[in-house]
Amino acid sequence: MAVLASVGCAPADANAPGIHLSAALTGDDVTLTWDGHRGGVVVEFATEPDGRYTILDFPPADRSTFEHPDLMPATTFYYRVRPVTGPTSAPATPVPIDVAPADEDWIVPRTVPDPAAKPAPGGAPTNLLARTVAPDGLLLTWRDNATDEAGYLVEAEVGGDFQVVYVVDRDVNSAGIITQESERAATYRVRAYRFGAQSNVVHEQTPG
Amino acid sequence: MQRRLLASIAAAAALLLAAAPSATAEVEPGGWTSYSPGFSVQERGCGDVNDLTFTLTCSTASGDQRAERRYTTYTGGSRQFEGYFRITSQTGSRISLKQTFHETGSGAYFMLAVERGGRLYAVHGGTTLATGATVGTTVRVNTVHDVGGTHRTYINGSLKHTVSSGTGGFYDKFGSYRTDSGAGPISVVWSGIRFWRK
Repeated sequence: MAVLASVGCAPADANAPGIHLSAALTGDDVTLTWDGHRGGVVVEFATEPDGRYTILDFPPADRSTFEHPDLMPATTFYYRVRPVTGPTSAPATPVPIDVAPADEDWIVPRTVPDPAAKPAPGGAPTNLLARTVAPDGLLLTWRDNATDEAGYLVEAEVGGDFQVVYVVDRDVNSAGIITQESERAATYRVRAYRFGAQSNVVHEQTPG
Repeated sequence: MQRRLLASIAAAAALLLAAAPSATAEVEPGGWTSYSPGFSVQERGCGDVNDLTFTLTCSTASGDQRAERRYTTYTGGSRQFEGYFRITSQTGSRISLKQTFHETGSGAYFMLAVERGGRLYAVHGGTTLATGATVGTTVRVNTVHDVGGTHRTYINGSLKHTVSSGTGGFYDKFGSYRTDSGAGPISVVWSGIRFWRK
Protein backbone atom coordinates (compact mmCIF):
# COMPACT_ATOMS: atom_id res chain seq x y z
CA MET A 1 0.00 0.00 0.00
CA ALA A 2 1.37 3.37 -0.96
CA VAL A 3 1.78 6.24 1.43
CA LEU A 4 -0.41 9.28 0.93
CA ALA A 5 1.39 11.79 -1.19
CA SER A 6 0.20 14.64 0.97
CA VAL A 7 1.85 13.35 4.10
CA GLY A 8 4.72 11.28 2.85
CA CYS A 9 7.91 11.35 4.85
CA ALA A 10 10.47 11.52 2.10
CA PRO A 11 13.82 9.87 2.45
CA ALA A 12 16.74 12.22 2.10
CA ASP A 13 17.94 12.60 -1.44
CA ALA A 14 21.70 12.86 -1.33
CA ASN A 15 21.81 14.13 -4.89
CA ALA A 16 19.41 17.03 -4.38
CA PRO A 17 20.90 20.39 -3.61
CA GLY A 18 19.39 22.13 -0.66
CA ILE A 19 16.29 24.18 -1.32
CA HIS A 20 15.94 27.46 0.49
CA LEU A 21 12.38 28.60 0.98
CA SER A 22 11.22 32.05 2.00
CA ALA A 23 7.77 33.48 2.61
CA ALA A 24 6.21 36.93 2.53
CA LEU A 25 2.84 37.89 3.97
CA THR A 26 0.79 40.60 2.28
CA GLY A 27 -2.62 41.06 3.81
CA ASP A 28 -4.02 37.55 4.01
CA ASP A 29 -1.93 36.21 1.14
CA VAL A 30 1.38 34.38 1.43
CA THR A 31 3.88 34.33 -1.39
CA LEU A 32 6.51 31.61 -1.34
CA THR A 33 9.81 31.81 -3.17
CA TRP A 34 12.49 29.15 -3.34
CA ASP A 35 15.91 28.65 -4.86
CA GLY A 36 18.63 26.06 -4.85
CA HIS A 37 16.81 23.53 -6.99
CA ARG A 38 16.26 23.25 -10.70
CA GLY A 39 13.32 21.04 -11.40
CA GLY A 40 9.83 20.36 -10.27
CA VAL A 41 8.77 20.57 -6.66
CA VAL A 42 5.73 20.00 -4.54
CA VAL A 43 4.48 22.84 -2.33
CA GLU A 44 2.79 21.88 0.93
CA PHE A 45 1.25 23.61 3.93
CA ALA A 46 0.17 22.81 7.46
CA THR A 47 -1.28 24.86 10.30
CA GLU A 48 0.55 23.19 13.15
CA PRO A 49 4.33 22.99 13.62
CA ASP A 50 4.30 19.22 13.42
CA GLY A 51 1.04 19.14 11.58
CA ARG A 52 -0.29 17.26 8.69
CA TYR A 53 0.98 18.71 5.44
CA THR A 54 -1.37 19.10 2.50
CA ILE A 55 -0.27 19.45 -1.11
CA LEU A 56 -1.02 22.82 -2.67
CA ASP A 57 0.64 22.54 -6.02
CA PHE A 58 3.20 20.88 -8.26
CA PRO A 59 4.73 23.96 -9.91
CA PRO A 60 6.57 23.25 -13.13
CA ALA A 61 10.33 23.27 -13.26
CA ASP A 62 10.59 26.83 -14.54
CA ARG A 63 8.60 28.35 -11.69
CA SER A 64 9.97 29.13 -8.24
CA THR A 65 7.11 31.02 -6.62
CA PHE A 66 3.68 30.15 -5.33
CA GLU A 67 0.91 32.36 -3.98
CA HIS A 68 -1.44 31.05 -1.31
CA PRO A 69 -4.31 33.55 -1.25
CA ASP A 70 -7.21 34.54 1.01
CA LEU A 71 -6.00 32.59 4.00
CA MET A 72 -7.78 31.70 7.18
CA PRO A 73 -7.40 34.59 9.65
CA ALA A 74 -5.25 34.59 12.77
CA THR A 75 -3.72 31.30 11.80
CA THR A 76 -0.10 30.28 11.51
CA PHE A 77 0.70 28.63 8.20
CA TYR A 78 3.76 26.42 7.85
CA TYR A 79 5.21 25.70 4.42
CA ARG A 80 7.77 23.43 2.86
CA VAL A 81 8.74 22.43 -0.65
CA ARG A 82 10.25 19.15 -1.77
CA PRO A 83 11.90 18.24 -5.05
CA VAL A 84 9.95 15.86 -7.20
CA THR A 85 12.28 13.66 -9.18
CA GLY A 86 12.18 10.45 -11.13
CA PRO A 87 12.41 9.13 -14.66
CA THR A 88 9.71 9.76 -17.22
CA SER A 89 8.31 7.76 -20.06
CA ALA A 90 8.64 8.83 -23.65
CA PRO A 91 5.91 11.31 -24.56
CA ALA A 92 2.74 10.03 -26.16
CA THR A 93 0.18 11.80 -28.25
CA PRO A 94 -3.44 10.68 -27.81
CA VAL A 95 -4.87 8.41 -30.47
CA PRO A 96 -8.45 7.20 -30.76
CA ILE A 97 -9.21 3.97 -28.98
CA ASP A 98 -10.13 0.99 -31.17
CA VAL A 99 -13.17 -0.11 -29.21
CA ALA A 100 -14.99 2.25 -26.90
CA PRO A 101 -15.36 0.96 -23.34
CA ALA A 102 -18.79 -0.26 -22.32
CA ASP A 103 -18.74 1.75 -19.11
CA GLU A 104 -16.61 4.34 -17.35
CA ASP A 105 -14.52 2.01 -15.25
CA TRP A 106 -11.57 2.96 -17.43
CA ILE A 107 -11.27 6.14 -15.35
CA VAL A 108 -10.40 4.29 -12.16
CA PRO A 109 -6.65 4.04 -11.44
CA ARG A 110 -5.60 0.43 -11.31
CA THR A 111 -2.78 -2.04 -11.61
CA VAL A 112 -3.25 -4.25 -14.62
CA PRO A 113 -1.20 -7.47 -14.49
CA ASP A 114 1.78 -7.09 -16.82
CA PRO A 115 3.86 -10.28 -17.06
CA ALA A 116 6.39 -8.53 -19.29
CA ALA A 117 7.30 -5.96 -16.64
CA LYS A 118 10.62 -6.46 -14.88
CA PRO A 119 10.65 -3.73 -12.25
CA ALA A 120 13.90 -2.52 -10.76
CA PRO A 121 14.93 0.46 -8.62
CA GLY A 122 14.86 3.67 -10.62
CA GLY A 123 13.17 2.06 -13.61
CA ALA A 124 11.58 4.46 -16.06
CA PRO A 125 8.04 3.81 -17.24
CA THR A 126 7.73 2.60 -20.81
CA ASN A 127 5.08 1.67 -23.35
CA LEU A 128 2.93 4.71 -22.59
CA LEU A 129 -0.28 4.76 -24.59
CA ALA A 130 -2.73 7.65 -24.49
CA ARG A 131 -6.06 6.76 -26.00
CA THR A 132 -9.04 9.01 -26.47
CA VAL A 133 -12.11 7.20 -25.23
CA ALA A 134 -14.52 10.13 -25.12
CA PRO A 135 -14.47 13.76 -26.24
CA ASP A 136 -13.18 14.69 -22.80
CA GLY A 137 -11.78 11.34 -21.73
CA LEU A 138 -8.28 9.95 -22.02
CA LEU A 139 -7.09 6.51 -20.97
CA LEU A 140 -3.40 6.23 -20.17
CA THR A 141 -1.62 2.92 -19.78
CA TRP A 142 2.06 2.26 -19.22
CA ARG A 143 4.54 -0.31 -18.05
CA ASP A 144 5.60 0.04 -14.43
CA ASN A 145 9.32 -0.69 -14.39
CA ALA A 146 10.10 0.76 -10.95
CA THR A 147 10.18 -0.72 -7.48
CA ASP A 148 10.95 2.41 -5.53
CA GLU A 149 8.52 5.02 -6.82
CA ALA A 150 6.27 6.98 -4.46
CA GLY A 151 3.70 6.98 -7.23
CA TYR A 152 3.18 8.15 -10.78
CA LEU A 153 2.60 11.65 -12.04
CA VAL A 154 0.75 12.17 -15.29
CA GLU A 155 2.14 15.27 -16.96
CA ALA A 156 0.60 17.10 -19.91
CA GLU A 157 2.52 19.42 -22.17
CA VAL A 158 0.45 22.56 -22.32
CA GLY A 159 1.93 25.77 -23.64
CA GLY A 160 5.33 24.21 -24.04
CA ASP A 161 5.69 23.02 -20.43
CA PHE A 162 4.85 19.71 -18.88
CA GLN A 163 2.51 20.17 -15.95
CA VAL A 164 1.27 17.65 -13.44
CA VAL A 165 -2.38 16.91 -14.06
CA TYR A 166 -2.84 13.65 -12.26
CA VAL A 167 -1.25 11.73 -9.40
CA VAL A 168 -1.76 8.05 -8.73
CA ASP A 169 -0.29 5.60 -6.30
CA ARG A 170 2.71 3.42 -6.84
CA ASP A 171 2.30 0.33 -9.01
CA VAL A 172 -0.61 1.84 -10.92
CA ASN A 173 -0.26 1.37 -14.68
CA SER A 174 -3.69 2.38 -15.99
CA ALA A 175 -5.70 5.51 -15.29
CA GLY A 176 -8.21 7.73 -17.00
CA ILE A 177 -8.51 11.48 -16.87
CA ILE A 178 -11.18 13.96 -17.81
CA THR A 179 -9.41 16.47 -19.98
CA GLN A 180 -9.92 20.18 -20.18
CA GLU A 181 -10.17 21.94 -23.51
CA SER A 182 -6.53 22.98 -23.49
CA GLU A 183 -5.34 19.44 -22.86
CA ARG A 184 -7.09 17.62 -25.67
CA ALA A 185 -4.27 18.16 -28.11
CA ALA A 186 -1.55 17.84 -25.48
CA THR A 187 1.29 15.37 -25.37
CA TYR A 188 1.48 13.26 -22.24
CA ARG A 189 4.13 11.48 -20.24
CA VAL A 190 4.24 9.70 -16.90
CA ARG A 191 6.89 9.99 -14.23
CA ALA A 192 7.82 7.43 -11.59
CA TYR A 193 8.27 10.05 -8.92
CA ARG A 194 10.09 10.32 -5.65
CA PHE A 195 10.46 13.16 -3.20
CA GLY A 196 13.83 14.68 -2.47
CA ALA A 197 15.04 16.32 0.70
CA GLN A 198 12.62 18.97 1.88
CA SER A 199 13.41 22.65 2.21
CA ASN A 200 13.50 24.58 5.44
CA VAL A 201 10.07 25.13 6.93
CA VAL A 202 8.83 28.72 6.93
CA HIS A 203 5.79 30.11 8.68
CA GLU A 204 3.61 33.19 8.62
CA GLN A 205 0.71 34.21 10.85
CA THR A 206 -2.24 35.80 9.13
CA PRO A 207 -3.90 38.87 10.66
CA GLY A 208 -6.99 38.45 12.85
CA MET B 1 -2.57 24.29 -13.51
CA GLN B 2 -5.56 22.22 -14.26
CA ARG B 3 -6.23 19.86 -11.46
CA ARG B 4 -8.50 17.04 -10.62
CA LEU B 5 -9.56 15.12 -7.62
CA LEU B 6 -9.41 11.51 -8.64
CA ALA B 7 -7.14 9.52 -6.44
CA SER B 8 -6.18 6.16 -5.22
CA ILE B 9 -6.23 5.07 -1.66
CA ALA B 10 -3.82 4.68 1.18
CA ALA B 11 -6.39 3.81 3.77
CA ALA B 12 -4.03 2.67 6.44
CA ALA B 13 -2.05 5.88 6.36
CA ALA B 14 -5.21 7.92 6.27
CA LEU B 15 -6.59 6.21 9.33
CA LEU B 16 -3.38 6.79 11.21
CA LEU B 17 -3.79 10.45 10.51
CA ALA B 18 -7.29 10.63 11.93
CA ALA B 19 -5.66 12.05 15.01
CA ALA B 20 -7.24 12.71 18.34
CA PRO B 21 -8.85 16.13 18.65
CA SER B 22 -6.54 18.99 19.48
CA ALA B 23 -7.68 22.13 21.21
CA THR B 24 -4.89 24.19 19.73
CA ALA B 25 -5.34 23.83 16.00
CA GLU B 26 -8.51 25.75 15.37
CA VAL B 27 -8.21 28.01 12.36
CA GLU B 28 -9.74 31.19 13.75
CA PRO B 29 -8.38 31.44 17.29
CA GLY B 30 -10.38 32.84 20.14
CA GLY B 31 -12.07 30.72 22.78
CA TRP B 32 -12.68 27.57 20.85
CA THR B 33 -13.08 24.23 22.58
CA SER B 34 -12.42 20.95 20.87
CA TYR B 35 -15.28 18.50 21.13
CA SER B 36 -16.49 15.25 19.64
CA PRO B 37 -20.14 15.39 18.60
CA GLY B 38 -22.02 12.17 18.18
CA PHE B 39 -23.06 10.94 14.78
CA SER B 40 -25.18 8.39 13.01
CA VAL B 41 -24.31 6.57 9.81
CA GLN B 42 -26.71 6.91 6.91
CA GLU B 43 -26.72 4.39 4.08
CA ARG B 44 -29.46 4.80 1.51
CA GLY B 45 -29.88 3.23 -1.91
CA CYS B 46 -26.47 2.07 -3.08
CA GLY B 47 -24.62 3.93 -0.35
CA ASP B 48 -22.07 2.03 1.70
CA VAL B 49 -20.12 3.28 4.69
CA ASN B 50 -17.03 1.49 5.93
CA ASP B 51 -15.62 3.55 8.78
CA LEU B 52 -14.45 6.69 6.94
CA THR B 53 -14.80 5.34 3.42
CA PHE B 54 -18.03 6.44 1.78
CA THR B 55 -19.08 4.76 -1.45
CA LEU B 56 -21.93 5.03 -3.90
CA THR B 57 -21.73 1.83 -5.86
CA CYS B 58 -24.34 2.58 -8.52
CA SER B 59 -24.89 5.02 -11.35
CA THR B 60 -28.56 5.48 -10.51
CA ALA B 61 -29.54 9.05 -11.30
CA SER B 62 -32.66 9.10 -9.18
CA GLY B 63 -33.78 8.42 -5.65
CA ASP B 64 -31.91 8.67 -2.40
CA GLN B 65 -28.33 7.50 -2.86
CA ARG B 66 -26.14 8.38 0.08
CA ALA B 67 -23.36 7.20 2.33
CA GLU B 68 -22.80 9.73 5.09
CA ARG B 69 -22.17 10.59 8.68
CA ARG B 70 -24.81 12.80 10.20
CA TYR B 71 -23.59 14.65 13.28
CA THR B 72 -25.67 15.93 16.18
CA THR B 73 -27.67 19.11 15.88
CA TYR B 74 -26.39 22.41 17.25
CA THR B 75 -28.57 25.45 17.78
CA GLY B 76 -26.34 28.39 18.56
CA GLY B 77 -22.87 29.77 18.96
CA SER B 78 -20.10 28.93 16.52
CA ARG B 79 -18.81 25.66 15.15
CA GLN B 80 -15.74 24.64 13.24
CA PHE B 81 -15.31 21.52 11.17
CA GLU B 82 -12.03 20.23 9.77
CA GLY B 83 -11.55 17.21 7.58
CA TYR B 84 -9.52 15.86 4.70
CA PHE B 85 -10.97 13.97 1.80
CA ARG B 86 -9.49 11.95 -0.97
CA ILE B 87 -11.50 10.62 -3.85
CA THR B 88 -10.31 7.14 -4.57
CA SER B 89 -12.43 6.57 -7.64
CA GLN B 90 -15.07 8.60 -9.41
CA THR B 91 -16.88 7.76 -12.57
CA GLY B 92 -20.00 9.62 -11.48
CA SER B 93 -20.55 13.35 -11.14
CA ARG B 94 -22.15 16.02 -9.01
CA ILE B 95 -21.74 14.25 -5.71
CA SER B 96 -21.94 16.18 -2.47
CA LEU B 97 -19.05 15.54 -0.11
CA LYS B 98 -19.84 17.88 2.81
CA GLN B 99 -23.04 19.52 3.92
CA THR B 100 -24.11 21.93 6.59
CA PHE B 101 -27.77 21.23 7.05
CA HIS B 102 -30.31 23.73 8.37
CA GLU B 103 -32.56 21.33 10.16
CA THR B 104 -35.14 23.88 11.19
CA GLY B 105 -34.90 25.89 8.00
CA SER B 106 -34.19 25.34 4.36
CA GLY B 107 -32.46 21.98 4.61
CA ALA B 108 -29.00 21.53 3.15
CA TYR B 109 -28.11 25.17 2.84
CA PHE B 110 -24.42 24.57 2.17
CA MET B 111 -23.29 21.63 0.04
CA LEU B 112 -19.75 21.12 -1.19
CA ALA B 113 -19.84 18.88 -4.24
CA VAL B 114 -17.57 17.54 -6.94
CA GLU B 115 -18.11 17.18 -10.65
CA ARG B 116 -16.68 14.58 -12.97
CA GLY B 117 -13.28 15.98 -13.77
CA GLY B 118 -12.71 17.43 -10.34
CA ARG B 119 -14.35 20.83 -10.08
CA LEU B 120 -15.42 21.56 -6.51
CA TYR B 121 -18.51 23.72 -6.28
CA ALA B 122 -21.24 24.93 -3.98
CA VAL B 123 -24.49 23.28 -4.98
CA HIS B 124 -26.57 26.31 -4.02
CA GLY B 125 -25.52 28.92 -6.52
CA GLY B 126 -23.04 26.73 -8.36
CA THR B 127 -20.02 28.76 -7.32
CA THR B 128 -16.75 27.09 -8.21
CA LEU B 129 -14.78 26.61 -5.01
CA ALA B 130 -11.72 25.03 -6.52
CA THR B 131 -10.63 23.15 -9.56
CA GLY B 132 -9.42 20.62 -7.11
CA ALA B 133 -6.13 19.59 -5.73
CA THR B 134 -3.88 17.73 -8.04
CA VAL B 135 -5.25 14.31 -8.62
CA GLY B 136 -4.23 11.79 -6.05
CA THR B 137 -3.76 14.28 -3.28
CA THR B 138 -5.82 14.96 -0.23
CA VAL B 139 -7.95 18.10 0.05
CA ARG B 140 -8.38 19.88 3.35
CA VAL B 141 -11.75 21.40 4.21
CA ASN B 142 -12.43 23.82 7.07
CA THR B 143 -15.83 25.32 7.72
CA VAL B 144 -16.58 27.98 10.31
CA HIS B 145 -20.21 28.57 11.11
CA ASP B 146 -21.48 31.43 13.23
CA VAL B 147 -25.13 30.60 13.71
CA GLY B 148 -27.12 33.67 12.83
CA GLY B 149 -24.05 35.15 11.17
CA THR B 150 -22.09 33.56 8.35
CA HIS B 151 -20.82 30.19 7.18
CA ARG B 152 -17.32 30.23 5.73
CA THR B 153 -15.62 27.48 3.78
CA TYR B 154 -11.86 27.16 3.37
CA ILE B 155 -10.35 24.80 0.83
CA ASN B 156 -6.70 24.04 1.48
CA GLY B 157 -6.53 27.04 3.77
CA SER B 158 -8.03 29.60 1.38
CA LEU B 159 -11.44 31.19 1.83
CA LYS B 160 -13.60 30.03 -1.06
CA HIS B 161 -17.19 30.56 0.00
CA THR B 162 -19.17 32.71 2.41
CA VAL B 163 -22.90 32.58 2.93
CA SER B 164 -25.11 34.19 5.52
CA SER B 165 -26.69 31.95 8.10
CA GLY B 166 -30.08 31.97 9.70
CA THR B 167 -30.82 30.81 13.19
CA GLY B 168 -32.15 27.53 14.48
CA GLY B 169 -30.80 24.00 14.37
CA PHE B 170 -27.93 22.89 12.12
CA TYR B 171 -25.79 19.82 11.71
CA ASP B 172 -22.74 18.69 9.78
CA LYS B 173 -22.73 15.81 7.32
CA PHE B 174 -19.97 14.40 5.20
CA GLY B 175 -19.48 11.40 2.98
CA SER B 176 -20.95 11.01 -0.49
CA TYR B 177 -24.45 11.99 -1.50
CA ARG B 178 -26.07 12.11 -4.93
CA THR B 179 -27.31 15.61 -5.67
CA ASP B 180 -30.50 16.14 -7.65
CA SER B 181 -28.55 16.32 -10.90
CA GLY B 182 -25.87 13.79 -10.00
CA ALA B 183 -25.08 10.10 -10.07
CA GLY B 184 -22.37 7.78 -8.79
CA PRO B 185 -20.31 5.75 -8.60
CA ILE B 186 -17.81 7.38 -6.31
CA SER B 187 -15.67 6.39 -3.40
CA VAL B 188 -14.24 8.97 -1.04
CA VAL B 189 -12.10 8.57 2.05
CA TRP B 190 -12.29 11.16 4.82
CA SER B 191 -9.72 11.52 7.57
CA GLY B 192 -8.53 13.89 10.25
CA ILE B 193 -12.04 14.86 11.33
CA ARG B 194 -12.12 17.47 14.08
CA PHE B 195 -14.70 19.80 15.58
CA TRP B 196 -14.55 22.90 17.75
CA ARG B 197 -17.20 25.12 19.29
CA LYS B 198 -17.60 28.31 21.26
